[in-house]
Amino acid sequence: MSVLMSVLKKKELPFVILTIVGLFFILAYYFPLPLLASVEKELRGWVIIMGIFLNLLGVVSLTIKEYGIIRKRLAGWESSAWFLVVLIITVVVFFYAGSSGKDPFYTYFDTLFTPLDTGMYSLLTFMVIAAFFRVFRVRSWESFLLVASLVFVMLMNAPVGEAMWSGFPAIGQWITTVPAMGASRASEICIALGGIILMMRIILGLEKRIM
Amino acid sequence: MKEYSLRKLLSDKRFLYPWLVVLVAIPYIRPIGLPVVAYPWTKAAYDTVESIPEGSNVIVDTGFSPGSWAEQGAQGMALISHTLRRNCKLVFLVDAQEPPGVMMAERIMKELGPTVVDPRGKKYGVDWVNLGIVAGGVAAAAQLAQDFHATVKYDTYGTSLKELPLTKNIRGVADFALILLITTGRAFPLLEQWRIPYAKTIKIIVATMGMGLTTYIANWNAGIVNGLLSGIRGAAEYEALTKNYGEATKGMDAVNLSHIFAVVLLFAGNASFWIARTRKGKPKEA
Amino acid sequence: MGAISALPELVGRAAEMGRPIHFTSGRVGMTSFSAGTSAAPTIAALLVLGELSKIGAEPGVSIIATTGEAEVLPVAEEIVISAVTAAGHPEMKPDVRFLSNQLRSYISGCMGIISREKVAGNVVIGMIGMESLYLLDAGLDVGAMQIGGSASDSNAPWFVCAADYFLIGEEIIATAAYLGGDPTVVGSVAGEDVVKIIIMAIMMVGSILVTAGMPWLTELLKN
Repeated sequence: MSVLMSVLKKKELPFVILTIVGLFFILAYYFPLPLLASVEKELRGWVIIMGIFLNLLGVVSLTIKEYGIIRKRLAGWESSAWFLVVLIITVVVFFYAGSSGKDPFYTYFDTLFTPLDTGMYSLLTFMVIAAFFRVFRVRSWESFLLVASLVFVMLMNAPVGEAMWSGFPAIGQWITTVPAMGASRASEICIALGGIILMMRIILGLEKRIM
Repeated sequence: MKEYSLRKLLSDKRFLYPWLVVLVAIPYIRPIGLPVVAYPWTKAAYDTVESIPEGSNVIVDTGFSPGSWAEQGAQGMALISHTLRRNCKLVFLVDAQEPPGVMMAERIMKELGPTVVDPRGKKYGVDWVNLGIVAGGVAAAAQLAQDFHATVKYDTYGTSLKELPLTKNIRGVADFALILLITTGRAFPLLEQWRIPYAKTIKIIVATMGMGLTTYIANWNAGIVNGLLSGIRGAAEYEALTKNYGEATKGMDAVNLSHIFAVVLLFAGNASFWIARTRKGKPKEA
Repeated sequence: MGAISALPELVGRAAEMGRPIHFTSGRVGMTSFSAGTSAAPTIAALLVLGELSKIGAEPGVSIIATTGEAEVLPVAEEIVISAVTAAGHPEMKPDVRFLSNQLRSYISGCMGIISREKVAGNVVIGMIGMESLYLLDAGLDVGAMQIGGSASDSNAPWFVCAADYFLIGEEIIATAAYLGGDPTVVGSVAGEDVVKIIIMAIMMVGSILVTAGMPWLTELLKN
């Protein structure tokens, strides 16, 4: 038993599991053999189960943390208490209704969450308008191009832009489909490559800081 | 000193916000009604729905929250009423990261008004099914494509999928003709795990918020995404194409005035910034 | 990497002003369940948090780290604990707060922290969506020095306009290698550049061939 515990406690164990499973999935993708495919399907099922438990883990660790804040009466403990109350009510209402699509849960959601979310979204939208005055300053050539593109694309999206001048939607569409698309493509390729390299480093155990 | 007090006034949110409220409210009293012309990516979305066989199965990801209803709800209603008009069968699901999306699917089906074919006559279990949250991310999407019933066994109401007429014979991606991705960004990975590996058998339309256009435009141009709806404008364009005018078309008037207001503020902000910068070097007048 | 080189300056500013630094990695997680293919920027952001905590440990600068994904909470805490311990200050406790994975709630929470604490620095980095504009605006309001970047290209413009130092797209992921200083890891970034050059060459050759009416390369890569 002590031998088993000493093996499980080793820091290298997660790396070994990560490397074996990561390399297996890569092999199964490039060599679709029946044996590999059936093991891959089984592993994917485990991954789905772990995903569900991960959601539960998130809620549990959050609840423990918020309870700790309430117990020690740290700053903002009232918000933590309110959070726990709402969490418990939501869970109780859900189990009583049996499903998120059924009453009373649907009514609870529609009456409380929907107006709150819509209200907050509207408030934040007002902030964007203030940002147009304060944030978008032309300080350099890059920000000038940015602001100019912003004007054309905004007026491309509003029918009044076309009513004012047919050039607004035409130039806006050109900006969207030529430079913006090119930059977006480059950005996506680079991020995908960067992601692949980072994941390969993690699978091969070269990136230890994240463990 | 006049510029400085005007600049202070314009940077005061208490001054700006009421103006925005007034501008957005005006069209509801006096509609402007400028025509909305569809851009190529929206037209492509319309053509995609028209091209799939009538009665096809369509999988829909409604991963957005109630705050985005004005944009994404309108997009969802426009797209779904068109697919229902073509007698398509709908399977709704959401990723675990956007739980309110489950209720958004319910709300879309409840709020769809009469169109050419009244969607309120559609029967749950026969014409549409709501799977609810499908947890597991990329692994679940990949598994769902190959073995539908092994990944999701029950719908959001707890009914076994083998008992529902729509889902009992579905095996995987081969039984679907179209994916509708109506999300703000945290989507179930149908684009990566369904469309890209099985591009020959299934098409995809992405309905995203306005700022998502640059993210997906390259995918549309490359043919990975068959059609794209961007923001409330995209929903209004789609309504114009299907001649099924709804909330998005009404909302475009508010978009017109608010966009003009934003552009005016942009110029005013930069003008005051540069005037203040230029004046800094000048000596004070006696 | 001007943005990452500015981290000591940011910490120095916070130490002088006696105010904390706000750090956020956004609402995207770091596993395939929560992030899909967007996990890499979040992982890179957490490595930046580790570096920031290490630099901030010596002058005793408080770092308030917020996240919108519950699974990131324990990982971020461990990263901060490891970093401050490595810097010789194990007594420092991590201040990592999970706000909400709902967009509007997360934005409100972050903006509230930035405004109430009057942070001296605002580090917004990772797969940040439209929340970046609001967070940067709140940072501007309190006069914070802002560093950040988003792997989402549609949100990069906000950083160009409002941040003092910004990273665009893949620079965030390259930062992870840069911070470690491990030659193998830095070598992988160099290898990535080689692959990019190969891809660019293929794209140029493919474009020329398609223009000349010979799409065989495009068809080959499509299949």
